[in-house]
Amino acid sequence: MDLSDALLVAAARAGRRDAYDELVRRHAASVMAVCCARLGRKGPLEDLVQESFLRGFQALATLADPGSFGAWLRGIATHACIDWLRKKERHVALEGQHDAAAPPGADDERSKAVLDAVESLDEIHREVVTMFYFEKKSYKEMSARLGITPAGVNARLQKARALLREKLQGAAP
Amino acid sequence: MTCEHKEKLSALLDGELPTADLAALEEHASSCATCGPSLEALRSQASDLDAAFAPLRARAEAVVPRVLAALPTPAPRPVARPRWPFVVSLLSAAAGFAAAALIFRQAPLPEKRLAPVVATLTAATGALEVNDSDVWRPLASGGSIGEGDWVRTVGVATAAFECKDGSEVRLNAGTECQLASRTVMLRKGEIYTKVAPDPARRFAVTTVSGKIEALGTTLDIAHAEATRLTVVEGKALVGGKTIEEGFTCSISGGIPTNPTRAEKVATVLAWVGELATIHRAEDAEFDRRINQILETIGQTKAEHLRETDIRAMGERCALPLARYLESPRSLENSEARHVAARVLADVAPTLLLADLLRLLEDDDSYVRIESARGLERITGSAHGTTRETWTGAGYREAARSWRADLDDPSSPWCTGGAR
Repeated sequence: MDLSDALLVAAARAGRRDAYDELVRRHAASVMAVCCARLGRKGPLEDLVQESFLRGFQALATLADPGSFGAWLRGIATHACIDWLRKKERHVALEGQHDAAAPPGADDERSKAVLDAVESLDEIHREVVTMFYFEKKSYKEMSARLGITPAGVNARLQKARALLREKLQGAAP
Repeated sequence: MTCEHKEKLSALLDGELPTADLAALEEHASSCATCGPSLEALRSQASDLDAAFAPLRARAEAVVPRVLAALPTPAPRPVARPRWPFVVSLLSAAAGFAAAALIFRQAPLPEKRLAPVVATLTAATGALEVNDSDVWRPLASGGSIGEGDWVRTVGVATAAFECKDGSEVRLNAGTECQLASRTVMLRKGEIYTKVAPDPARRFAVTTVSGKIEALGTTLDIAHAEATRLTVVEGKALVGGKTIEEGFTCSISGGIPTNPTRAEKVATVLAWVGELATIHRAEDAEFDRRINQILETIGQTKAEHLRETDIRAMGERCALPLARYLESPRSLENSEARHVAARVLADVAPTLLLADLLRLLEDDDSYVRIESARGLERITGSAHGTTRETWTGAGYREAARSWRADLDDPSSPWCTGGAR
């Protein structure tokens, strides 16, 4: 039986480290998706996912609504990304350092072009594409997280796909 | 060419159509000149997107073991509460100050300990790491630091160490430093030191910017690209110059800038307060810190807000205003003091009776009059005094009499001598 996030948070607060481990497994993809949507795939995603879970762990006692752990943690991840971007502005640019490229091959070029196009979308469309294709969320789950109706999710996704088509056709040789 | 069904194609592809509609739409698409090619294009795009995100999904799975390995053990649990919960709620409400009191009690780890112990961890609000042999490992509560070990706070954690010589070193978030006997090397972050006197050997803090020698002193030293020293108590010696109590300076190349008076010491030291609330803080220090913060809040309200805005905060602003009125800093602005006294008289809750009683002996008659008005509002009695009582020479006697009556065991306002 899947325990709810609220129960896992309660157990983690009571000292059950395995409960927090389960929360990590459950939310790692969505935290990475947030970081990816903010920083692009060349950002230090693993570092920021780790930082976000660590911050969450340290601040777990301050979480007011244990049932909203996922949303809370994604907020923490967003802040961690903003902190990183600020730091990056102040210090040396780290372009390319964390580029975890896919294995080489003919498909890589296509995937690279697709992800470049995704990253060039505006934030609301980048967000729905990332949630649907990276996190594999349903319309219902996306609608709950985004605060819009499932029909609104569909419309946003359709628009995002049309924009991607335009960008990829424009980029094609 | 358009088709009324075209809008449904993306929902079909996304698996979001009711089963009943699915077969019918697929059949339609197979024969529709508009929908057929559109569906194919959408399928191809979905396949591209799936493939493009596959490596990222793999990264998300691969990051899990790394995150689990980096987490401290065991999970956090709150173990201490601020002694004055009402103060914290007032602070939170009034100034966005949050005193989250968490402490990690980590399982004892086998310690490799060859160097003599120079310090012991006495309090922490999160995870700490120590490096005694080129490897960073978690430091347990009560864990010890050997001569020359490096220690760092993880994330937003802060920590306090007691040194063998009785000195105390506190580390702010993001701090990394090396502890040795009567010496701290600060690589980055911020430390607060309360130095135990030792005429034979000065306590020194070193950064790449210079060396600071404590002369029986409480210091706050922050180092990022430059070093900033704030002398909280006593004096410090930097590059042959003495920095006096209450002054701050930057240090570069071993030379301090001209010291300037440290503004808002309480704000600079806000991070120290969290540690003070959870462990080993002497009562006097805790009280001093709380009062400094309250004074600052009260000063901000009384000197920078309109009276109507202060009143709108109601009872929540009472404690800061009382602390402000009782602080020497308020004496420089009598107009702001009058506003504070006036509002306090109207909003002070019962728990501030002791403060109002003390203010009956204030040097400013306006403050005395307003404090008496506040006491009368709370207790329902002017205690036989009038406005003239508080402007005349006998106000001290009247104040003492009022206090004695309220402290009488038969009085409903008696607190058993707490004031």
